[in-house]
Amino acid sequence: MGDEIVFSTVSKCFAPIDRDAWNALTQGVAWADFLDASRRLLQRGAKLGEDESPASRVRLSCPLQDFLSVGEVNALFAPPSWEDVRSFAALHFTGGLPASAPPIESLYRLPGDGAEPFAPHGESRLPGSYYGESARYMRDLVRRMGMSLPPAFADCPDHLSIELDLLAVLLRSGMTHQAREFLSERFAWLPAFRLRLLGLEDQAHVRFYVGLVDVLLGVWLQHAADAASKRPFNDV
Amino acid sequence: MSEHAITRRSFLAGSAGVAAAIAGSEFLSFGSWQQAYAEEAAGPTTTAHSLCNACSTKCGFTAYVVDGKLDKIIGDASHPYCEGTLCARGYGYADIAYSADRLTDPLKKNESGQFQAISWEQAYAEIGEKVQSIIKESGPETLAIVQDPRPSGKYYSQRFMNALGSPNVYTHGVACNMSKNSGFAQVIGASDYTSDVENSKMTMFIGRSYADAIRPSALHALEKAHEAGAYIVLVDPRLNNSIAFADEWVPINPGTDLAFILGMAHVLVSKGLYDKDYVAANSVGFDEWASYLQNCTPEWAQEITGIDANTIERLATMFAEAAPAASIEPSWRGAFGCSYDNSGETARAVCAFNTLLGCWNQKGGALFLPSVSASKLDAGTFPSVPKPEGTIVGAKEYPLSQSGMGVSVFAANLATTGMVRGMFFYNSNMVAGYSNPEHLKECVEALDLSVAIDVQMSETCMACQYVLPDTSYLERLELPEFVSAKTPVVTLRDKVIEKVHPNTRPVDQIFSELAEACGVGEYFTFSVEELADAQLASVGLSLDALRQKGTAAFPEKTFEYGKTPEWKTPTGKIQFASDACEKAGLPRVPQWREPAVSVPDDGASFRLIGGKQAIHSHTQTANIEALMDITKQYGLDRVWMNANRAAELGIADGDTVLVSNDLFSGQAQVKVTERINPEALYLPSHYGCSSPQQKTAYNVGLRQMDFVPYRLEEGYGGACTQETFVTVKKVGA
Ligand code: SF4
Repeated sequence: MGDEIVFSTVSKCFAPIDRDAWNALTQGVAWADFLDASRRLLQRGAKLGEDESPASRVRLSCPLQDFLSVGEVNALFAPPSWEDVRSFAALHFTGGLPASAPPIESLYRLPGDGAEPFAPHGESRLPGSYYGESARYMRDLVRRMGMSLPPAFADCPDHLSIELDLLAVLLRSGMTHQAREFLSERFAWLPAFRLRLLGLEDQAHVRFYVGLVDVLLGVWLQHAADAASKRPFNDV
Repeated sequence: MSEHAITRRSFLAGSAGVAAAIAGSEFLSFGSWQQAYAEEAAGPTTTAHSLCNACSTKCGFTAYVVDGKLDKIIGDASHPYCEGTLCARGYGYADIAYSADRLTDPLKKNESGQFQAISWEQAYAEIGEKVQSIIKESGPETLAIVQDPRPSGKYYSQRFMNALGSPNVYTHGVACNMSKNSGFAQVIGASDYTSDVENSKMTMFIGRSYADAIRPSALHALEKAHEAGAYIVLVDPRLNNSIAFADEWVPINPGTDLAFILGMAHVLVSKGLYDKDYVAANSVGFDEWASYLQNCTPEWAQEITGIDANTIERLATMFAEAAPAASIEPSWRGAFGCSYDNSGETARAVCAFNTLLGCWNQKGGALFLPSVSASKLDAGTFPSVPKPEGTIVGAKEYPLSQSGMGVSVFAANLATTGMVRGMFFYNSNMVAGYSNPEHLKECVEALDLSVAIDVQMSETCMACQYVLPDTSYLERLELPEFVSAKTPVVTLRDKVIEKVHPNTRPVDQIFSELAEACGVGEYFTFSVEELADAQLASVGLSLDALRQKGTAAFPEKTFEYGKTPEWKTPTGKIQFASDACEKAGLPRVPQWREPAVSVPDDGASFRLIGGKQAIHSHTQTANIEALMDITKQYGLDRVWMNANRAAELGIADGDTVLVSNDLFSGQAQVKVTERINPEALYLPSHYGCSSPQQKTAYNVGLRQMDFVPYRLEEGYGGACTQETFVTVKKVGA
């Protein structure tokens, strides 16, 4: 199973998908494949986009518990119902409320902070504003690659779902190097988003979403350092 | 990999050929993109004309949009209110479009009091059903709407409410300029006039400051007047920032402007310094007023106002010498727009005094500027809405209140009795700004249906059951705005940028869809473009033409000095005496009337007064980060206290003080200054936001209205926003 399933699955978890799509995603083999792929990508030395080799299968020794908290693992192993995620999104993935935590990169970056990782902070205020530099970059990149944004994401091309979706598309298209570069550049805002999620009261479902973010962060942390140092990914 | 394999699970997908495109495309890293973006000036620039929404002046500007994002705005020289210059609020407020605190989806309050996103369909269905059941059970007169007028909002909100059969359409006027406008109407038959400041020899401002409550053209005129040697007088408990262009500050006791005007009028009348011919030819009731004025000597006025009798006499005499190129400026909210139980009567006295100067429509005097409006439109395309039966709620109890504004908080108050059951709010923060917020919140929460339409979560939104997300003013076309000026114009707020949030909707669409849901959709079968174009066609223009220019003038309607206006009063004359006022329980002629609340002479109490600062509009701009940064940098949220009073209370500049009365108590830093009357404590009107969703404004400073009880001015219905006092003590002393 390819790495792309990790990103395309998490992408859908943060998007407004319908009940059937949610059930298809979380009930049955698809979710097990996602967990399995996540576990593999989180292993030390795993490389994004690298074909599964017998050697890499051998390395599949560490369970998810080694990377995530017990609460997160439990939440990921028992994903919430569609009703629960809809109601979580209605409270937290909409704008303008005290408990708003939209998964949109522009909101977690200070204006002009460019690609620099954003220092997590505990303030109630989101540091950025809509349609920042990351949004315009994503809009241009999507266009450049001959794709189009669905209407629900027209205002926020830097929505986590779109960023992950693009990453999955790159992997599926065999653009592994570009996928790694994209991964390392794009996800520096996730610690700030994670902190925002942790500040919400709705902890039962927060654990599920934080678990998803921690999977992404685990992958990102493992690969970002390589990209930043400009070393080839396979030169480990 | 196949096309299908690449796009089948993707949101980004997927027309045929995407796989080939992706494979052939050159991935651009963020770093490379940033570099290219910086070097290539980032995509195409488009321009559009629009109108600022940061205050009700609605200055015209040209917006420059680079690559889909608002880049800059520049004031339009042809717009008569801005004359090419925008103020700081105008620039800062444009940030609202991209604000992290924008409302992005329709919201409904759940059982635990939390808002959660719902679909537009659900919102409309539930609101429509509730409206229809209220109409069925209690009649349409139990429904009301409150709006702070904007070009499309005022048209659509009125049409919507009238289509439902309710006459209850209110503005924010009760807490703004309604008492002033209503008082003026009793005397001159018009709700406002414009002082010809730049051509005047003398202009007196009472409680209004062009340099603090900015309209750029007004500030330009004041500057010109000052340079030309006009004598500019500021009557204000606080030395406001217009002093840069003024000659004299009259530090009057708050709430006593009426006595001051009566004292000056006494001088003119008793000394025969008024324009006798003008008064004889144009007015009724002068003798009645003259008789009352006999006792209003400057010495009498000194006792009340704290202003030396000689000053009152001197200023009155200077007025007589400068007339007719002189006037008392009409003010706005300031001292007598809504502040005291004597505000409407103060407004009458202002117009009566100007009449003594014979200054109406004279160069340098007080002018009635022309305006143009759209003619009646084709009823086939734009069907007329039947006039609702009955009068607006509050008109009976406050007969002098202007029906075009209405006593909104009185209507809200009736929610507690069930006589008003459903209220809509458009671009209106009634709860935080119109009277006591705690009381108004309870009123809104008592409604069977409450719906707010806004761009961010105001205190009024918080109190409502449903909140519908509006587009920002930059994201929509609105109806043409006709502006009165020496040469009247029509202006346009055109769409500048695409919607930032796809699930927000413009006001015209929201009201049209609400009407459909409430069963009166037949009155909303046209688009805003069609209506705008038809309105413009009725005055010889077109939407396309106005889109190009932003502002179009009607030179054939240009104002001419010296023409006697048509006095639209019941007598057809200027009315020193008013039957309507008498019927409302007030004197026939403007007489001294104490404020309703007097400040105890206990050494610890102050009258709490408000007032604007140049970088904010009411509570509307406080959540703009760039503007709030200025507040913080200069400590603009401090309360102002007179230096002598501060010394008596052992308070030093910069101390933290506790401001209290029986309604509220809160801490603020204090600015100790000679620039304020000893009786007054000034609290800027922009702070104390209690909506945690407005994360920049939340909890900064104190809110004036928290200290103001629910009270309405007799006859006029003004919100009596300065009828309160507080005590102040140093924290930790
Ligand atoms: S005066 Fe300032 S805030 Fe008001 S409309 Fe003009 S630019 Fe905007």
